[in-house]
Amino acid sequence: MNYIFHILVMLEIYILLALSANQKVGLSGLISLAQAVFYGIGAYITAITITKFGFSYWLALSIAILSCVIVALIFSYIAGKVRELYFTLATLALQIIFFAVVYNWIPVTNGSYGISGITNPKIFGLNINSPISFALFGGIWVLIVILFYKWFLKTPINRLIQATRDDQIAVLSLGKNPNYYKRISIILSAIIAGIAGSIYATYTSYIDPSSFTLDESILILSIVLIGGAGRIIGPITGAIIYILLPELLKFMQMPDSIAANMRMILFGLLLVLIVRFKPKGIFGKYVIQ
Amino acid sequence: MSEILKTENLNKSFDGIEPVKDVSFSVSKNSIVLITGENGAGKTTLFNLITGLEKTTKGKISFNDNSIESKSALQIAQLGIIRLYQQPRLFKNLLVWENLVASAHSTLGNIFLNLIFKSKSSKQEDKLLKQKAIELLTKFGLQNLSHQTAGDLSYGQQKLISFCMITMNGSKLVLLDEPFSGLNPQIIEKFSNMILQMRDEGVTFLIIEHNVPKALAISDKHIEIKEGVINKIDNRIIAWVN
Repeated sequence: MNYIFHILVMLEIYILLALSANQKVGLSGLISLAQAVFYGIGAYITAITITKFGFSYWLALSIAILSCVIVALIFSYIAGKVRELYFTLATLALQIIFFAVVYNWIPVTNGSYGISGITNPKIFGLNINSPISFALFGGIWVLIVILFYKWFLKTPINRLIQATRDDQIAVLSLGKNPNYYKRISIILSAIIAGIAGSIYATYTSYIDPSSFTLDESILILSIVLIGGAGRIIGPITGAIIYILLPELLKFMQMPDSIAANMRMILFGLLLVLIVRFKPKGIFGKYVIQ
Repeated sequence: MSEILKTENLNKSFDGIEPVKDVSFSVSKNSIVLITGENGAGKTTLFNLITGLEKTTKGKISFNDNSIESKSALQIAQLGIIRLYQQPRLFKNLLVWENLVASAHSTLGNIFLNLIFKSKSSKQEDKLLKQKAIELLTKFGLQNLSHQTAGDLSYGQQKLISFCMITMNGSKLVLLDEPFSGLNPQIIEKFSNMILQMRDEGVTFLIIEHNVPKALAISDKHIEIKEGVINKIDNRIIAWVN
């Protein structure tokens, strides 16, 4: 039973990551290879503030979100000025810098040994330590983010974010600053990824740099591409496919050693098929260019 | 009549080429000024200079008696000079009415924090803007397009909608870059009427057009540019009655 709840927690974390990537890729049209950076900042700041300073979970989470916002803000000022492929290259640089920092700044991040002993969060005195309570805890976060998007997708600011995606020069010539709308998108996306990171850190109670690599960023991006960008349902579908695929393979009695590789092969194959035959993704609204 | 836009000895040169050599002219308020010239005469560069997309090398541009030649494209757009591109630029994944509402100038909905701190008034304003957008489309007889996705419209319809977006923006000076190119005669007729209607409501137009007879029919002043200098200025009497 615990195993099912473990799957559920991982699914919730990937739904959050996919929704955060969708904010950038789907709504703003910014293809980001640095989604794992904000995921990692959320996880590392939570881990460091809890283990080194003994902060409570909520304080640690607040500091983690704040750090994500600050990094996103600085990054958006530098990279928000460039477009399309150049933006993607800038995110690639951010990803590489982040990995180099967490891998080599041993006094703070403990390098490749990672940080262990991250304590579980508490809500109103309730200790969240079992998979079932984590599944509920993650579920609440997913619900909050989904409700946020239900509201946000209808707001005028979202219309302008999408307008900036469709034609940046037109937005500029209407007297509005396209960089502002990109910045909002980058920050929102960073906050959601940071929340996912802090859930991940307290859930596994151990983190190391290998969870926040370029591979992870590409994976998050491909989840959105498969599920479809622009709507809430798309990224959620993508995350479900990615998480449930290995379970399906296990169900077909495939040995674990093969299943892990088979999962990536099948996921890659699915990505190729989607790009060829359904470029909008399963539930997508737009073709990502 | 007072002047809304004035250029003095405008010059642009890069890498030894001078697309605009020496251009001085003025545009009076509430008029339609037509600029013609051969390909490469410097018309588009002139538009780029006025909208701030390119920086002037020498000379002055003033808009409502404020000099704007050192301002950025965004600042100039915020002052109220707007440009309609030759290829219609609209937000192709949004609905037509959403395109119009997104074009409205400096609204509460433009700022993220207003969603939190002024949620009620920005929601109300958004409703009003939607109403205004539908009214505007109705005025030009395009209301049946309001709930279509902008990217699905035909080329001519996209041009008319992007003109509506400019109207919604409420800018005082509008630069039209070949508005009639690629349009059939009926749509040109409709477009001309829309331009005249907006002129009567206090908007000034500066037009580049190759379809000279159609554009002359609605313009008050005709400037001909040749190799970066003004060849001829023709102050016509307003020929159009009603």
